[in-house]
Amino acid sequence: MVQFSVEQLPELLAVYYKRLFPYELYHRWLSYGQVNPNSFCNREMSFTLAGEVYIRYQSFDKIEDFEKELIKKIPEKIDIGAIYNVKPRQKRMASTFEVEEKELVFDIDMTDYDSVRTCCSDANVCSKCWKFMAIATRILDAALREDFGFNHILWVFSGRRGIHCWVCDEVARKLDSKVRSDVAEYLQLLTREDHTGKIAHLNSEKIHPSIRRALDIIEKDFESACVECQDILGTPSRMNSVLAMMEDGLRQEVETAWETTNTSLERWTVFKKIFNAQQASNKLKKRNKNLIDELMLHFSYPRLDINVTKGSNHLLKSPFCIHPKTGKVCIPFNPSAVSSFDPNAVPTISDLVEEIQQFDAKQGEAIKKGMKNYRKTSMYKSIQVFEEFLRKLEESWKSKYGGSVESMDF
Amino acid sequence: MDFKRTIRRSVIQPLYGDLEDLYPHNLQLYTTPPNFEISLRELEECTSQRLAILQTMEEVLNRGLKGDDWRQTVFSELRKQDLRNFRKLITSTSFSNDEELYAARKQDHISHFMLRLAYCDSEDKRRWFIARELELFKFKWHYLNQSERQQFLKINNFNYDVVQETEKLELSRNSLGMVQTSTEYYKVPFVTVSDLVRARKVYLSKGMAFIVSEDMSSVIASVYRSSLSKSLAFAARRIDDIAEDTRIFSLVKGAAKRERDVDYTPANNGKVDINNLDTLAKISFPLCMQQLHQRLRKEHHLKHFARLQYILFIKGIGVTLEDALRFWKSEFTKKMDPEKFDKSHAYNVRHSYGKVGKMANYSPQSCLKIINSNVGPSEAHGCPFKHQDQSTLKKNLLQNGLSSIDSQEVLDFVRRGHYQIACGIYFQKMHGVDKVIINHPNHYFDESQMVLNNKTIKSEIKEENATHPKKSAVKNDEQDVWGNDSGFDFNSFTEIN
Repeated sequence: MVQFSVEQLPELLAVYYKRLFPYELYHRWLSYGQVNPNSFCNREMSFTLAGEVYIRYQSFDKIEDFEKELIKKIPEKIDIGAIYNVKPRQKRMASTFEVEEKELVFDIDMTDYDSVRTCCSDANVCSKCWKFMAIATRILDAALREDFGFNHILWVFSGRRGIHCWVCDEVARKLDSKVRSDVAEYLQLLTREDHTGKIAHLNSEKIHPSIRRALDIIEKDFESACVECQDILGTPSRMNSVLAMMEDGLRQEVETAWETTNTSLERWTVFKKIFNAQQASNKLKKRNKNLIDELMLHFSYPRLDINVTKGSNHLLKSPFCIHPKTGKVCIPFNPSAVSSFDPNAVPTISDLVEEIQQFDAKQGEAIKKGMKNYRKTSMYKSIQVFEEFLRKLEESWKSKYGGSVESMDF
Repeated sequence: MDFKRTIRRSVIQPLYGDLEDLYPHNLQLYTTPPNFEISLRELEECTSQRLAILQTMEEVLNRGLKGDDWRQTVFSELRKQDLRNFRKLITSTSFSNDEELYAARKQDHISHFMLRLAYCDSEDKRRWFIARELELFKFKWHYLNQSERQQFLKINNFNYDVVQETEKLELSRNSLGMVQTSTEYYKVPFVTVSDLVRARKVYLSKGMAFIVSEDMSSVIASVYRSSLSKSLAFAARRIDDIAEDTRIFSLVKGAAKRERDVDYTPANNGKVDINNLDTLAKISFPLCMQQLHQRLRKEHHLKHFARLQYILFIKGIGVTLEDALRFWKSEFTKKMDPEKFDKSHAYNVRHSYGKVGKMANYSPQSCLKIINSNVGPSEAHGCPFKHQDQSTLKKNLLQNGLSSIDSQEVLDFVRRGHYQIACGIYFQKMHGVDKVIINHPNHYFDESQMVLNNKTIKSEIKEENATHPKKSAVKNDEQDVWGNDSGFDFNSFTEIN
């Protein structure tokens, strides 16, 4: 691996935009089979140039124009906005400027887990805290597919400490802002801290099937990912914060029993035993009836930034752009293999540039021709994830709109 | 080549036919615009009546009433007004003859379309109108009997599949018993019942929601909402067309002006000295703003929605932009470098004051908006009476000097979902006055200042030395809990008068 340094970013980006950015695939995605001929050209693109200069409401008629602009401006960051009724760059000339379509998007940021993760803080992410992201991905992916029936979901690592989810089904793209907000609230289970510091509240006896499914997903990993890896009961202060969530009767018994324990896992097991015994003998106060479930949700239910989901004109960082601080590529990943995804193994722009140079040096000019440059790099695996996503997406309108759609082969 | 402009104007044919066919039902979805001869006087009358109904509904809602309480209060408020036929119509009371009935349905139709014109030209107005019309719709639906509801569904083609027994068995298993085999269910796309989805009141599978017949009103309401929203957007683009007809146009403009929405127009621009903010927060801020103030002073940061809620409030009480900027900066830069502040936050403050960007002069947020906002983990905005858990709320009430009996009284209203009444009671206890209705944080502030000023005057006259208990509490707080490390001179505190 080559060390990435921020100073080299402009130079590296110039190579990246010229040789590596997957323009064709990108265009295939954002034109959505030309079912709506304006899908690509009425899309807002926004750039962040060096020195934090933002340019909003860019739009491009052809992918070639987009490519030229990237090579010319070398933006540090690219954001994708909504599809409007007119070309965003001409919005001043239009009498109305309204959002027509936008993917349903979700943003999960590791820093929102700072109150429960003990391995890192702020912008850092390690394989331990990635487990939170893995659980979040599984829960959200299941809800979107099973509850809402969405099929075309693109999961993207944001390049530093978060993940983005793009739901690209036609129904999802056409949701109005009211329904968007309702879907977001349905999925946003966590609330503001109560006086005990707990953010998950299951007040009723009957738990909604969607939450039950989330709990089943969490349960499989909770003891290893949270109790052990995060060592959530490992220090007196961590123990106290969990004890604070218990009513007196439960707390006293648990506190006493914990005196003879040494590890988080032991404490968790002891707590569960006491909890179940008290529940069986009907001793639990109403507020604690669902405490085990609530704690699992408190620690590991997805912490969504739902304002990103609610606003249909909200910008979200584009897949395949480079995170300007880490140099890592914002790459798609397969949600069913999320556990084995390692954020620290994601290639940086320096790696990629080095890789194509090495490849070029080894191979002759002849082979190089006609071969996509990204195939020569460690980015290729995530390109395949993206291609697979596109293949299924294209099937959906081929079956729906038949042959009337322009051929997507390039 | 022919350069003559061809004007193609579609002439809408008047709706002929029997009123019985045009208005088969008390409840309408207003899909076709009216096309009648009507006198201006009648037009004006029915428009203002409908507006009065919508405003009444909102007012009652702002008192914090919900469900049956809301409906009953609306009902009795409407009785007080001269809206006889309208009231009969929306409560499905029988008319003495068919002529009156159809006349009322016709006025309902026309007035709806008049208000569409009046409330189409800004996002805020559209939102207000849609919300009110949906309340009206649900209000009417409530008063329909079973057969009238069935009839309505039939007329408007709401044909949804009843879930078959075999499918129901499977659903019941998959939904862990949420779908009950003994009840009848309809299968509808989730987008049509997103209200129920939001509240997790329905079982969802593969994009379909399974609802019981009582929930059908949600389906219709959401269909109505989206068609109304589209129609309003359309009307907004064409509103200029009616500007030529001054008779109609002035009527429409007049109706829009009477909007008694939650808007608050600051009366005291530039009157509040920033140095008094800590004291004012103690004595005259509603709980929601007091907490934001404290949070900002303690943590030197507020998240987006909290910033917005608070900055618009202090703008409303009369803090100048310059002062607000200085205050914001002195707090934020305790944790953030000034350059970053200037780049992002200073802009936002100016934006809230309408000095940059869209240059819109945003009004301070109303209780309704604050109560309906969503508060996520570690966010501080919202209404404490609604969003705070009750033990934290109680602690805060006690801290502010309420007795435990008084705070119990407040909490009783909170438990029943009457947040604004709870806030009103809190005001009464804090100021030692009777009955106050709070529907805007800035009204709370103004009201509080008025009460306190009166008291000061009275006590000066009587030359009483016994200070009001709340005021003495203020003086103790002068050595404020934050310490005097801010860039402000909080010692320059003077008695507010």
